[in-house]
Amino acid sequence: MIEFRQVSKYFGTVRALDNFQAQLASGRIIGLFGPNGAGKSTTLKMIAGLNRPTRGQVLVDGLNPWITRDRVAYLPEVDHLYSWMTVGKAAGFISTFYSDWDQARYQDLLNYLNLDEAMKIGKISKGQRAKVKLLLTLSRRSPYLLLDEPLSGIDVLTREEIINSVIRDYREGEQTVIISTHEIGEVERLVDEVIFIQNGKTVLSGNAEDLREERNMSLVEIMKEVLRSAS
Amino acid sequence: MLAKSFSRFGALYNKQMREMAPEMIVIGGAAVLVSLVSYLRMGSIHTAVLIAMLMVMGLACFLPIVSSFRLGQEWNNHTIYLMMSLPVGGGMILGSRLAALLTQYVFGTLIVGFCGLLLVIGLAPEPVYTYLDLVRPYLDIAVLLYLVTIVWMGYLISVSFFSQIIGKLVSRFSGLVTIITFFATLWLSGKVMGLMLGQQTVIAAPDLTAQFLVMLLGVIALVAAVILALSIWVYNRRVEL
Repeated sequence: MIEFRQVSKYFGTVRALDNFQAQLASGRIIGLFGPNGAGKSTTLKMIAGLNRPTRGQVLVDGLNPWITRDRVAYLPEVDHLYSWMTVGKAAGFISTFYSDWDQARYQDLLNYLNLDEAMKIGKISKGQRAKVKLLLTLSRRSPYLLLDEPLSGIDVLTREEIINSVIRDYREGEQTVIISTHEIGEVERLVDEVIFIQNGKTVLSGNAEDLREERNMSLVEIMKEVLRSAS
Repeated sequence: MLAKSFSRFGALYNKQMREMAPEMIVIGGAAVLVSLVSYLRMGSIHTAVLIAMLMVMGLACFLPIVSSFRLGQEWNNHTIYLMMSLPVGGGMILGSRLAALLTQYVFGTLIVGFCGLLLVIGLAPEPVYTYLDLVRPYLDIAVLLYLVTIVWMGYLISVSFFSQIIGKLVSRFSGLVTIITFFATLWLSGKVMGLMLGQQTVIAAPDLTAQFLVMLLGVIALVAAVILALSIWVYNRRVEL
């Protein structure tokens, strides 16, 4: 389980998280939704051990996230792979560090996503780079999967491929997937739980299906309404 | 556990070596080219040959220091996201980088030295064995001196890592903070080394005896290790994205 205990995070004078409190249940797909600058990426980076709280505590399975980095597969929004590496070299490099690397799954996904091991990361399109990032993240059988804006700036067909890959490889009950995005419509059918976040605070959270039924709205409409009333 | 650590260190080291490969090719190529041109054109050990070889040697010594400042590029290229999310500490990240940079230094200096030696053998007016007796008494000093330069390089690289990591702790004027920290650390550690050696400055060393060189080696290695340990501590405890 992932726990945020009254977490505040400041970058200089900018407040990214403000007394953020959350308990993210294991084995679910959780959507972290909110507008740009709401604190979604900071939240994921804290779980991945890349950011530290200014105040409060973040715990992954009861431990400091810096210690649990081997349990977390993190896909950042930015292109974080070495441009001189080929897909195969990047996979070889990353697999050295994780005992949960699944070579069979990697090969399977490589074919499914129409990628080639010889492709040089610096020379492929943005959509292909997004698929390579996803490939290298999903090839691990990690208990926690963090996807930060996986669909940002990607064409419709590639988006569909990415979403289908996540659904296809999701191990229900075993794996916790947290997807951060402001493009809710695309992942609406994917998520079990949602957290709407604005100005570093939770404005609404709960079971996606229950929220839809209660309000008779889609998650996109709920977010619009919630964020409007919060601001 | 140990095997796993070795393979992780190996993966980081290989990555680093691959990134530095073009520079190593340039140094090797320059050394071979200068030697060949000197041998074919000059026909004797001319001052121009010495200057050219010294310039290539200077390049071999200078490049690892320049390459060490590439640590900051990990932030600019966003590859720091990958490095920091790997389940390894700063010791392995910085240690593998240091090992690769020292390899670059040793490779560069040895290849230039080897080419220079071949040139001497090829161009010397007397057969080379006639010089051996002349050189033999200074061999141990030369080896020690070379080891001192390797440790000195390690020290400079550690200072470079430390200053870049400190620079990354601030969001504004990161470059300026890096430069100030670099020179301040050099100055302060130079003072410390001077005190440890019982002199005012390291440069004002007396004659180059083996005993002095061993002491110098130990002092530089100790100061470099402290600075590296400090860099690792800051990387593990303070650096974030």
